[in-house]
Amino acid sequence: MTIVYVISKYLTIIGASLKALWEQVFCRILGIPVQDASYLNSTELCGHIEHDFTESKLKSFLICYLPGLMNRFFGYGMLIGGYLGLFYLEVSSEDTIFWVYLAMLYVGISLMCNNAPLYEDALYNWDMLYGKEQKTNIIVKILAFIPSVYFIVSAFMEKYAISLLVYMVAVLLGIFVI
Amino acid sequence: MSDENKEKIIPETPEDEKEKVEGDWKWDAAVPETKTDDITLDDLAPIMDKEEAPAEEEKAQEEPAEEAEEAPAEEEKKEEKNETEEKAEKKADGQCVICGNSTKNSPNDLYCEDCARKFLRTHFGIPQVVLAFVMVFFAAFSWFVCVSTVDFSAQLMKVESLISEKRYTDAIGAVEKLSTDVATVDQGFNATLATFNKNQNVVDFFVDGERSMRILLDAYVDSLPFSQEQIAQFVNIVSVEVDKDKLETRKYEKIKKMYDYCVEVNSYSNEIGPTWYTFMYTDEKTSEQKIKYDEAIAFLETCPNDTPAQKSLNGYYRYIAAYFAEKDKEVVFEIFDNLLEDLGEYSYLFDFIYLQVAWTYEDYDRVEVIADRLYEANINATDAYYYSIKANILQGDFTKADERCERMFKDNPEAIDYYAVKAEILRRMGKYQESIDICKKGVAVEQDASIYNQQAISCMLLDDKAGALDAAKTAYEIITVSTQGQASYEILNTIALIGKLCDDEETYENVKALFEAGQEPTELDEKVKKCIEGEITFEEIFMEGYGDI
Repeated sequence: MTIVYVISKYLTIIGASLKALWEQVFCRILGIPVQDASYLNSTELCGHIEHDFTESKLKSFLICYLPGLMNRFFGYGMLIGGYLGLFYLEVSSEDTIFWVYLAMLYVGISLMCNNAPLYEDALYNWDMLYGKEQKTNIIVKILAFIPSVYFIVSAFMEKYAISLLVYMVAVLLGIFVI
Repeated sequence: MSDENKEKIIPETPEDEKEKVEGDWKWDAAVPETKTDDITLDDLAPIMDKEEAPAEEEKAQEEPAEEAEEAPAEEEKKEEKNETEEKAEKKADGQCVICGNSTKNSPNDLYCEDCARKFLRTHFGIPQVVLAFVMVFFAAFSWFVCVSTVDFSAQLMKVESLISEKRYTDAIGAVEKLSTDVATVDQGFNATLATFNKNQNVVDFFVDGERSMRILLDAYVDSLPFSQEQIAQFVNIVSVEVDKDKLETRKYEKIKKMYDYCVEVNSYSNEIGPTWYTFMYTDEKTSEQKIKYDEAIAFLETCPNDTPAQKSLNGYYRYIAAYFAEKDKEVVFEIFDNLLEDLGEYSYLFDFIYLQVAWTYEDYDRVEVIADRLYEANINATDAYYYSIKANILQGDFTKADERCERMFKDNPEAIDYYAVKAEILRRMGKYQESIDICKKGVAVEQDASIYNQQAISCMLLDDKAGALDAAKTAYEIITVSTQGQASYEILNTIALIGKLCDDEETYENVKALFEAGQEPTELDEKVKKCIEGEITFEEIFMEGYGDI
């Protein structure tokens, strides 16, 4: 399945590169050693950087959360704006803004398809917070539960390019149904 | 390992510290960017021996070799645990977790300054930095576009919701507001561009899209009356705004159907119109329009009557013939009833004409039925509903009139007509003070001449001449200032009458002059003249029969 994953990353190259950049930036901010900082390659690390597992729960959570958050923050505006402009307002291709909406939609999907942490990082975060030997505060457990589940689910979806598939279906619905 | 490679591995290390660092920490193994192509096992042997020997010895003592092979995962875990513990100890001692040097001057509490610089990869390539900047700029621009697009989409959704509630007039108004908002955002965008480049041409960057035009046309289709002027306007808009290819698509099915109908009406009208108008003439004695009824009907009998467009125009001409020939109302109503039955789904186009005809022939029961039908088809058809309220008043059924009025207000809270109509009902019920109160509420919402007119009438009936004159003069002011003299015949006559009865010659003369200065000069109404001469009373005009001038 790695080939599917790598293809999905190259199809969404802007989001994949940017996600890896944010990961590198936040590794730097959080003081997490980086082992491999190449953004695009043909392995399952494509679109991510390889870093050490963190020692603290907070860092583990933040390194899963923050890079994706940055992509989502940028991506939502582009995705919503582009989608509405093209499929709801039905802007004509003769208008300049059509191409802007098209670019926004592509970059938006590209960013939203790359907002999950690496699957191993997501599992590690889960283990740090909810592992048998971990003594995590109950309030922290409650607060971090939904994001932690989201990390695993979204990472799994990205691993098998399901998120890209979902957005492609949404685009087809926009073209033929809305 | 060659010296050249060593230099590549630790280029940032200061010369004076080089010896010390090399002694404490093996960069060759720690830095992943190191080129490993030319590293041989012999190069790594001393390092590996030095670092792993104690650990292997420990392991060999603790665990047998076979067990280690069977459970490599456990071993890894233990190694990781030991490593973590070691790091934690070093961290607690203020030592770098990698090389063991002091972390005193380091920005990071885990690594010394050198290791942090090396191992945390503080440097970013130019492409990455460029990508980040471009993305930040594009994201900021996208958010601006997104906010505007969401606003436009929300407005369009509101329009669709209004259409689903059959509020076609409100929907058309909302689409017009959307176009204005798009133009405003465009102006702002162009003004921003102009700050960067003064020679920048004005661009229509933001557009409201094809959907808004389609919704607007849909609303027109559902509320279109059979009027040649409106039909021509509809055909013009569709042919200018909609591509022919798009008109064939499923989304435009309804518009296409109406467009084809309207085009056929136009062409059929051009075909039979010239012959038809030869039957019309002006009576020399009375100067009234007349028609050669039998000849006209005979001509229509020879015309094709197959398509909805042909049936519509033939039926309409039959009605015109009956009207000018002053036929009985039964004949006229029969023409309309047959026409509506024949037209089926297009029959709604004739409802408003039929309503006006029923009103003209004073068939108030029919007025009520048609007005209700129009109101059900378009909740914003308050003018149609007004006919039915007025019919109820003329029938003396004030309770029903009041109920209808309240329903109209409930469905159209922004309809200013409510206050004048409600005031009229209350007046006819003899509740003058309540009528004045509702007028005061109405003018607080909007300064409207018809509301002031109703207030003036109620004041006169209460014998409050000062209040009546004041309200009448305000109504006149609104007419002359806000509407450039455009007002209903009834309101202007009422103002003139109240002015005269309250000894305000100026207002009376002004209104009279307004009538005389019109494109078709007219005089004051007969009722006004008679009332001034004392032949009829004010109460007789406003409290009996039609209840108005």
